[in-house]
Amino acid sequence: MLFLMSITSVSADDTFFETRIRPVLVERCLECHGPDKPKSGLGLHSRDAALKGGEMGLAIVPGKIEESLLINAIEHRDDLKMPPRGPKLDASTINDFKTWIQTGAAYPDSPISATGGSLPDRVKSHWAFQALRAVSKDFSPGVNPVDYWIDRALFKNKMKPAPMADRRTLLRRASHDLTGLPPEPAEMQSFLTDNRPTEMAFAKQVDRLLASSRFGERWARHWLDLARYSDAKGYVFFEEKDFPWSFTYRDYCIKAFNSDKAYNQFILEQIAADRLGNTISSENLAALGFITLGGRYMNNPHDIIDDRIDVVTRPLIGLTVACARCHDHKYDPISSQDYYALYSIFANSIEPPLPPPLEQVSKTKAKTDAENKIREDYLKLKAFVDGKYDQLIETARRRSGDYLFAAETARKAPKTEDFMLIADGGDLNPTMIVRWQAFIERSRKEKNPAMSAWNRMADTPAEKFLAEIQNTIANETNLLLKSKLQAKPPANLQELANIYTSALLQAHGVWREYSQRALSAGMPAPKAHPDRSIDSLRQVLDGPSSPTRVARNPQGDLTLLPDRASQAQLQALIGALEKSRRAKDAAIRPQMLADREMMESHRVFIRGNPQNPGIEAPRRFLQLFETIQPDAAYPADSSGRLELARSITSPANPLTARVYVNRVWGYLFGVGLVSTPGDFGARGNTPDHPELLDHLARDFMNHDWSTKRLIRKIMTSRAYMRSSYDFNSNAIDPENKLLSHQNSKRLDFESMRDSLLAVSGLLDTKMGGPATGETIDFKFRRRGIYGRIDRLNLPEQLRTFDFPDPNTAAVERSTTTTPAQSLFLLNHPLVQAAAEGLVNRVIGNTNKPDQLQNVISEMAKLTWQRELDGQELDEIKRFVGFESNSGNPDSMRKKLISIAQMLLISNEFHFID
Amino acid sequence: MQSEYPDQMQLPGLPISRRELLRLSGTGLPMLALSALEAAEIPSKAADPSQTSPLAPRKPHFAAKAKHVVHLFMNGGPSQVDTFDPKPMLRKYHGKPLPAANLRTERKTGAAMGSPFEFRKYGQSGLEISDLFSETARWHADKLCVIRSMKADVPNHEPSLMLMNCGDSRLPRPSFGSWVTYGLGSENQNLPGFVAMCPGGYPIVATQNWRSSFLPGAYQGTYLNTQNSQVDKLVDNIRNSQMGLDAQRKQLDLLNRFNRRHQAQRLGEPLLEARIQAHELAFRMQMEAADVFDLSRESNWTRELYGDTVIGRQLLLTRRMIEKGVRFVQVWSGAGQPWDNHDNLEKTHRSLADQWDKPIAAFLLDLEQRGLLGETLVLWGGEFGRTPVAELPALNGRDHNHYGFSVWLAGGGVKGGQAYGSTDEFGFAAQDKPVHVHDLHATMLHLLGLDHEKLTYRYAGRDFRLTDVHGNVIHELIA
Repeated sequence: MLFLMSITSVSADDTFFETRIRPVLVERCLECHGPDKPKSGLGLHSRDAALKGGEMGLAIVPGKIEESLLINAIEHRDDLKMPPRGPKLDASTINDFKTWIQTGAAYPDSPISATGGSLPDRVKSHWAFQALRAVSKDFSPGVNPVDYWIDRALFKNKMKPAPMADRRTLLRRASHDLTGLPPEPAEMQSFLTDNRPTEMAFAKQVDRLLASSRFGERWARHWLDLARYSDAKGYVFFEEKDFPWSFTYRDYCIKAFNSDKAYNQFILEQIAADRLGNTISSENLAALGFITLGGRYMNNPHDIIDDRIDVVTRPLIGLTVACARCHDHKYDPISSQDYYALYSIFANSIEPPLPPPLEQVSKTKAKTDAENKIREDYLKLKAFVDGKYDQLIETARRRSGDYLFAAETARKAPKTEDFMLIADGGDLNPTMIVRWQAFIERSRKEKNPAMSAWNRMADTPAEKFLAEIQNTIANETNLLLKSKLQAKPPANLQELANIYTSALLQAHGVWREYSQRALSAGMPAPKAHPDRSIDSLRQVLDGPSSPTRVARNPQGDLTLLPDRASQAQLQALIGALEKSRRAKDAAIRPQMLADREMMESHRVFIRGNPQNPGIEAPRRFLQLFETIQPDAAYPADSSGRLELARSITSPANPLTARVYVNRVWGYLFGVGLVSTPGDFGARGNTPDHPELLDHLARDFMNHDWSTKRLIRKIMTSRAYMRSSYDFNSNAIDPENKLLSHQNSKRLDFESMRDSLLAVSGLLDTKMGGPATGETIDFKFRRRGIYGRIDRLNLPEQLRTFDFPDPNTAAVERSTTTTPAQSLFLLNHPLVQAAAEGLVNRVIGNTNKPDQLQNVISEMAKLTWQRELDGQELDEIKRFVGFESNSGNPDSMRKKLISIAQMLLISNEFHFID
Repeated sequence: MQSEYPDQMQLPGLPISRRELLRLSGTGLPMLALSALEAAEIPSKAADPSQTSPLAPRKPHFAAKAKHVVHLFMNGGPSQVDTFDPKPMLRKYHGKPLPAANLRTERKTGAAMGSPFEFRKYGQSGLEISDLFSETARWHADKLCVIRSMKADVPNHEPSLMLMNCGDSRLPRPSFGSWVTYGLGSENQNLPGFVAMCPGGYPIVATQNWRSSFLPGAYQGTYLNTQNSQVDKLVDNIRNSQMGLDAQRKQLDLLNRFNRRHQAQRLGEPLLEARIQAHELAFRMQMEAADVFDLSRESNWTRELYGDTVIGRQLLLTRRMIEKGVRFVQVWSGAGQPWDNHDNLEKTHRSLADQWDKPIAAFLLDLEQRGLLGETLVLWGGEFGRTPVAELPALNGRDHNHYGFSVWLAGGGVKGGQAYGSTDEFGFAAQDKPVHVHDLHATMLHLLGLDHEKLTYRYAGRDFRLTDVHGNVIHELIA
């Protein structure tokens, strides 16, 4: 049961430290009191260092607040006032520090993100990070390795395995597991009358079901849970609500499962199809929907990237990497640097507004016109957005002093979160102010000489400005800046800002002229200006870490255009493009991802705060997997998604195959060998049959990562074919970890809905294409996977039946039982339609059923795939009132529909043994 | 309409002999099954519904003061300086700039704008409240615990709604009501545990406001469009359009007989029993829901007290649900964001307050008279407040303000008749004893007997909380 409350297992003191103390240390103290040459010799980066104290004495004496100098300093009791910059710590934080010291100053020793650090060995020894065990046994053809390990464990525990289930149960089980639909009576009949031994006959059925197109529809739906698939974007401002081509990804997945695409290729394509060039056909670009079909998080780029990091890690390698966004993972060896290495990969990927068509566009006039119109609207949008970016950058340079001053003001103000502002046309751009603010922070950490005068004077109180400026001018090493300062010493920070504007622009002008001259002389573009004073100043305006290095979003965004007028223009342009893309003759395109034209490097955001950049985070895969990193550094001219995908699908990656095999096992047995399919880390559960898991994973990779082969292997085992009845006292193994019997499963929402339609003859099996209806709408008769999913507005009914929230990857579904589900079954028009359909299917539209008993038997056969026994028939006859046959065909029909509904909502229909 | 199985808790409901069980088993189980059955005890993992229903009532972490929550959501953001936070200085500066620069909010703001509404002292406590809520004030000032120092994170609607409702501005997290229902279950299995009412459509960001996110779907809020007053339009699937309750009872009895036979062959499976119970609950829910939503069962006097308006009906429905044990009811002002008065504030705020004032007074009075106020925690407020300065260019409306705003609590163990904390002299930012939304959540959970640090759910590798890593219980708010 999933709804039991859990209480964190870490000690209360550690939790207190991690939630109340460590974040403050990281944010306010470690910049100076870190491991690298700590100020006054006091390091606060570990318990040992903190207890050792510094030049001024003991900073922390556990249990003794009064003797701890640190409290003295943060309370500003005398001259030593810490932290020296920014606001004083608030009273509740100071109280937290007192509590912390009073209770013994617990300080768990996992490393602090901003400073890097190596992975503790104890975590490296975690089972899931070890290489797969070598195949230890050769199995003769008759032995299924699944049974080898399961039976051994049962024997060791003196457990009786359940016998094989009867044929009816087997085929129902297999049909639902593979296609999400019950067997048709003819299919059941053919299996029941197959003279071969059950094992052989069943293997034939498994092959038949695996070959059915319904298989891909069922298994792609499992995958869409992981891909947090939605046809709508979620809450958006200026764009259309729906993704124009989300269905291409859904159809890609269905096709991939039906054609048994190798799983490693499946992953490669979903992460980096755009980088695979001619090795794949262009229709596979649709695979990138895996990344792009996430929510829009109110256009916050950091959240969008976070979602993308999560979707390539938790579902694929079973690690909760997104936990490391604000600090190193608490339990697993995943650092903030790991997180931001992945961040950097996705930050360098964009969604092009006009991806190439998925198929060759035929040359009819209508199609050509449609394409031309799209191109025209796209170019209009592009010209507008480019112009706005150029203007933003140009203004950021021309008014650099104003930005500096505004950023400094913002820096000193109490921190508030980034928010959307509506500005006037002539205002400074609020996002650009934040960028300058981050630039100033960085320049302080890196002691950027071009900014030293500014930073020094910004820290000087206004009344001491005039005295201090003389020292600053005397110490200035940048000659251009120095000459300007000397010419007219500024009287306040605003004047200094103006001098910066002039010096920066002058240096930038000189540099441009210099590089242009080189270019027109046919020489390569220079990397630096020979005059260091010029070069360091011009870097502020166009160097790699300049605030003006804005990563362009081809569709523009709100932060680029904070004023209403430009927003309206942008909205109109996007609207026009959306309209032409939706036109009847417009080509279908993939929900694509592509690399940026120019790669940007990114840094760790300390505590996840984009305004607080830490150390560089070069693009790479998790450090944990040193051996499966590519040999060379990630290429400078691409995002690195391909390299990432190769690391994930590397046969040496100990997680990918294990996680997938476990997931497949879970779909077939109701629960995985590892019962936490989304967490293979330290907090996840260990596998119940570790050798079996490793064998299946290795065997899977050795056989072309074939999903169908893996499924066949598992399903033809005796373990799969067992009865779900527990013949042991369930006290020995109440959770059935040893698998002495199968687990019974309840139909999930789509299986339930599709099965209702299927047995009543209402199911439309048309495949693929745009979503044309709501799954919950009784008039929509296609399989549930083709129904429209809107993550902002998911019908309550879907959640009622445990359909997962499509906002984040769902690695498993919960199973709840509620009266709201029953109300649906009792009263929803969909169920009523199915009940009527079932009656119609059996008797046609006539109101004169000749042989009532046959009708009832036939309906039962369709829903339950079995004959009713005499007692059951009597029950129903009594319900109908056979004896007092009134002869009223209308009321008879009503009763038949009522019986049909009873069959359709029965436990026998909804549970699979 | 008596079920043939009056006591559904007993297992098995269908008298079935061992011999018959074996005979039945023959249809589903091979021969070996029979001998195994003869030899072994039949395992009976009899379903205990309290273990299987996600909405079964659960004990809080410690003794609770409140059992229910009613959240009156003034979506759009009501102005604190026009309702519960008097700022006479604003009138002095009316039309002039404030001495200090305006804090940055979503739009450009200009001069100070004095409140067009009069504040008066009410009750023994002398709590100052504006004329907009004079009825509520006159009757209940001494019950209100006004928090004047609320603060949120940003001045935009969407993230602030998410923060107030789900404890996080942007990331998909379960709503407050879902957390509470997850923590405590519900006391009436015949009604939804968590109800969200909004007339005429959804507030912005729609159903996300009452989503269960990664908590099981059973904890999501059930939405009622209170523009409708007929029960079958209010609640999904509450009535069968083809058959009456009598016919349905007979159908359900037939279903039960088949389900019991089916179950008798599978005694180890608790979900089967849970499903059988759920059907019975659902059947009863049809009647109970019809009853609870039928306002004609109230006396004329009571209906007049609340007023025959959408808001009045919503609050009367709320009381009826609380009385029946519903855990969490959220009542919205209307679709979109009615309180978002960037202009025309005087007129619109007055008309909105007119819709709410009398029904709130009636609601609190009614709860009190029925002895329910003590166990019902009522929260009034928006997702943020409004600026004391006017939005440019006109001088008749206010921008969003997350730096400081007011909400009030009443009932449910709250210390009434007090104004807690304060904003600066103009009402712009929380100054004395600031209360962040996380603190409000932590305090409300505390009143419900839940420790906000212990009410956790394991998801994606983390133990999530409503308050994430934040939140302090404010004990001064508690009686």
